[in-house]
Amino acid sequence: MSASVLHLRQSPFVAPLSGKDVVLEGVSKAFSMNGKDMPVLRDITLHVKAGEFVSIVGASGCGKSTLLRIIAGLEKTFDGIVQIGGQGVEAPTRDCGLVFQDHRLFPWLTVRQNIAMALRSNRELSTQGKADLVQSHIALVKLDGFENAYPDQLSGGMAQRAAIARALVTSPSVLLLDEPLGAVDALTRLHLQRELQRLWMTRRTTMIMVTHDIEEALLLGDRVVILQPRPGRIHSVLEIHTPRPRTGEETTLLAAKRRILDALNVGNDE
Amino acid sequence: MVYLSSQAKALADSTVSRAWRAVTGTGLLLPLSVLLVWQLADRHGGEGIPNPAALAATFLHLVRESAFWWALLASIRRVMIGFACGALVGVATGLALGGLSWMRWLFGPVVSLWRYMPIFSLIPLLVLWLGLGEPAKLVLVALATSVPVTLSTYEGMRVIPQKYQDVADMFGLTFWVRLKLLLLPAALPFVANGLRQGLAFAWMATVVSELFLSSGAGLSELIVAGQEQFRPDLMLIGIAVIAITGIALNKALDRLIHYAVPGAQLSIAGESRS
Amino acid sequence: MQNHANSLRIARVGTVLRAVLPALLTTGAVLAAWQALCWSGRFPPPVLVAPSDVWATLADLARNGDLARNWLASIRRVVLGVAVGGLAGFLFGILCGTQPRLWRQVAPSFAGLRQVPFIVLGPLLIMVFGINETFIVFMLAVATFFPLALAVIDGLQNVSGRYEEVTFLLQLGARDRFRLLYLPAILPALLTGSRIALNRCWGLVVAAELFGASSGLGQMMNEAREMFDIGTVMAGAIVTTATGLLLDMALRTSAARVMYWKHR
Repeated sequence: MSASVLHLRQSPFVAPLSGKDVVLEGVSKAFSMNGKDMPVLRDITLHVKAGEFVSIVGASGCGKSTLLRIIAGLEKTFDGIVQIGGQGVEAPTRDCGLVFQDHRLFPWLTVRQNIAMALRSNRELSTQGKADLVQSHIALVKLDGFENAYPDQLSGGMAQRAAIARALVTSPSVLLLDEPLGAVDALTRLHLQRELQRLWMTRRTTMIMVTHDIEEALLLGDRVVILQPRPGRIHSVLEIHTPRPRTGEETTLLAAKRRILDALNVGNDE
Repeated sequence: MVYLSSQAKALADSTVSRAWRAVTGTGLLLPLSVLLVWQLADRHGGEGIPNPAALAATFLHLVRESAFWWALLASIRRVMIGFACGALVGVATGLALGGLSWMRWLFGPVVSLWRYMPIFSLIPLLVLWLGLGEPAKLVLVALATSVPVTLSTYEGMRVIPQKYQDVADMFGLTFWVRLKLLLLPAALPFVANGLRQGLAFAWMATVVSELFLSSGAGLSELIVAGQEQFRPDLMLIGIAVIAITGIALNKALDRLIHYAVPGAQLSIAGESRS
Repeated sequence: MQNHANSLRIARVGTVLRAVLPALLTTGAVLAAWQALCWSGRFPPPVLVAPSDVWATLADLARNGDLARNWLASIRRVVLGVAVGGLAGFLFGILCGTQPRLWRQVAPSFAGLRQVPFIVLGPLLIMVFGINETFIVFMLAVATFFPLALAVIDGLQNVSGRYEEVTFLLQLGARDRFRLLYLPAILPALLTGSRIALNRCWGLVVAAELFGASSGLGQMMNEAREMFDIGTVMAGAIVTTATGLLLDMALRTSAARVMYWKHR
């Protein structure tokens, strides 16, 4: 798949983007607990192509979040190689955005200020340029009219959209999503899943999403990586060739779901 | 020979580093270095502020006199009696306000105003009514204690979740049963915190009453004497003894509370985080 | 619509009335009993004066300007002391809150010193500075320093690591981190600390003025005590309490305004 294919353009300020590839080579990580090393991740090798959407599913405790934090540069110590666009990762960079499960908007800043915060370290853009960029991203996540609202005036779904806008406004080549819809209600979740699909089709940013919702993983991913817990390691990788936009009702997806459930040993206990 | 000396050196090194760790680990670095700098800056013990060595000498001289111990005893006796009376009154008032709705209705708003009354503005009034003797001092200490104890107890009973109150209502519990099963256990941590604040207030009131109503024995004698004889060393020692006694009293009360209410979450002494 | 607004207003007046009525009732009853006691003649004026006399004294003090002069003198000291001590405490708190290794050395001394009843510093400060403004302001500054510094340190230590991660991720500079995260995050603790400090200082200024001052509410009351003028003493106690309440209310109101983002 060519990374630079651009199907839609939302606004002149939302730059057409090509993602960068992410390379994980033999990544392991252990936390020390009471003096003992507890392995969380073991020997993860994964090549994510530029512009690809990769979903990672697995039971809780298999180190999914830790994996994303390593890619984002938030974890300082780990074994193995992590590269974004051929560059090793040592600290957070503007190349890589991260959306947390909890929105982590600052309660004392408005939606606009929260999003604009991401552009503060950018010295190339003019003030007007930044303002336009923020406004266009507010429109992108459909929060027009709520620019001046404070986070606790927003619903959970709206706050999560603002968080997504904050991660996208820096035009990262890689967007990491750590159970981004884990804390929103079921209906909003369905809606936001389609929004994410639309965003990815618009931006073609490389996206890596961690989730425990298999249907969500299938709806969005080009590939679904199944992790095995304690310590987290790759069980298998599933390629999903179903054309987009997907609805989630496709028979190919339903079949894939069955295979994942089998792989995770769910539903065939009897 | 070389071997021996290097071993001795290693031994000395490890002793020094252990001592260094003991000093930094317990937070003694700052006070010790302040004392050292103070001593070095004023080695000759000249005019004005005395140096630590001179203070230590004065202190050693003081503790050999029985008057010092009588003064300490008098202050502790004063704070204990005043605190006990004030705490009793405070807990009783707080419980009554929290447990009886008509008491709350009548006196709640007025009692909430107590927080804002500078307790020492009552000193002139107490002197006019009770004179300069022991009664005025004890009343001041008791009053100073009762205000935070009352407010904290009252608050503890007000923050009991409505759902528990509903359960009590459902079973038609009488006042005494409700007090025993619901109100007291729920309010206990708050009472404990009120008592800790109350003791800090009580000690302050003891010192102030001794300074202002300067009759009879008490630790503030040291400070008053220092003022009259122009002896800063006496004042500094007085301040230090008062501070250390106050901290010791707090520690003792904490022990007591810990023993009586094992699970109590104690806030930092003397701080009301409303 | 008009009717609805009217009934709303009436309902609001009713709520307020229900809240203050018992307070008025008890206060009224106490005042009446007190007044009756005075009229009965069992306690002659030097011991007890009637509420009406206290009121008359208060009106007198207000008219001849004594009250305003002394009130302003006390307030001025508190404002100065809180400003100086608050600034010092804030800066010290920032320093210790951001330097854990420094704080580990300072904390034990700090914990001991803050339990000192600062009023005992009075005579020593008088010896150093003499009986003047400086000694009172210095004492108030010391009393403000500790709760403020503690609030800042507490606030900084409790800043959520979840938010700190966001600032790392967005690569905010030190100044932005302070302005956008740490300062707003410690604001609630700072305001609580300020309330404690202000309340404490108002109590302390009265006490300090009892010791030695040429003006102020405490000095006014002490002078009245020496002349057995119990009316002025009581008027002073009332004014100091009312002022303590007003100061706290003012701070609470501004707190609500500063923490504009709290909507629920």
